[in-house]
Amino acid sequence: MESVLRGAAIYFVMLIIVRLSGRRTLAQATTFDFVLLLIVAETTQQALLGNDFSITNAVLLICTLFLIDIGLALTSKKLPWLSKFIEGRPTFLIRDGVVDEHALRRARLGISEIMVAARAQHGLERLGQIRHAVLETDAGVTIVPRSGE
Amino acid sequence: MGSVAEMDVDDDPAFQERLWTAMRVGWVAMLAVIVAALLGFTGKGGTFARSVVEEGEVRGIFPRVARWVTPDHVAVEVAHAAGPITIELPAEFSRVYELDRVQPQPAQVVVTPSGERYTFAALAGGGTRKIFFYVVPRAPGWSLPLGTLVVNGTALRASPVSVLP
Repeated sequence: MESVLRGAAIYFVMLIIVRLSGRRTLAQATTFDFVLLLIVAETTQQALLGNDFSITNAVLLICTLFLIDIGLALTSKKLPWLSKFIEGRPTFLIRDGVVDEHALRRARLGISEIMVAARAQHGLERLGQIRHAVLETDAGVTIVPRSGE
Repeated sequence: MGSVAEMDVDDDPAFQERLWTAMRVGWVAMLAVIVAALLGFTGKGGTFARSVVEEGEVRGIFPRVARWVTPDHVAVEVAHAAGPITIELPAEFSRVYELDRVQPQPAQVVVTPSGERYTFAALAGGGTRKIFFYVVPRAPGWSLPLGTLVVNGTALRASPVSVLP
């Protein structure tokens, strides 16, 4: 029983903490983010296993984690509020050519990150060529260029 | 120039604003946990991690907060200890802690109706002697009583311990 409870507790704690850390942590993986992911993975491993290194414990934990993941995916389809919390919603960072400074600040993003996406996706050179910029639920930024660009 | 209404995006600005606020509250909560840990409220060091109980020439140092399945220790100091030292651990102590080892090794361990009695041989020269009980909490719990230790006939009421999961 302990294995299942440990697995569930760690899963939900990680889900909440990763959610609270913001989408930027997921998509814009810098060196710091990479190091953080490595360390967190090691940290949670010890908490999951405790002092039980048996195959049984490993199987129980794997099953618990996968089932919770599947359960949350199915449940969030039926409960819109859960889907909102887990996956979030897209956010306009630039709307009709107007930069939403408040959204940028709250999302901890800058114009430079928008321009990175603009250059990568459409080869745009200037901010004025962007019609819309949307921070997606997968933490990527989608650029919609102005017509004719 | 077209308007945003033509774009099929399932955004929810009001929800996003609330989520951003909740995120910042979460950051403050995480910071509060770190501060509490630095002060010792999560065990394993810090100003408030241990409590000291003194009775005459006997001093007990107990964890105030421990962590489940994580080694810790209880220390008993006896000043001017010229002869053998006997320490009786009550049954409540054994219910909370699993005893891993004792340092120094006791000369004798006897099970009594109320717990266990450890006898440590006398040392020439006397002075202050320190005995360590290395323990592992058995289960999480809040303010678990450890009972009263009896050290050379002196009752030492141990502070309760909270065991974090």
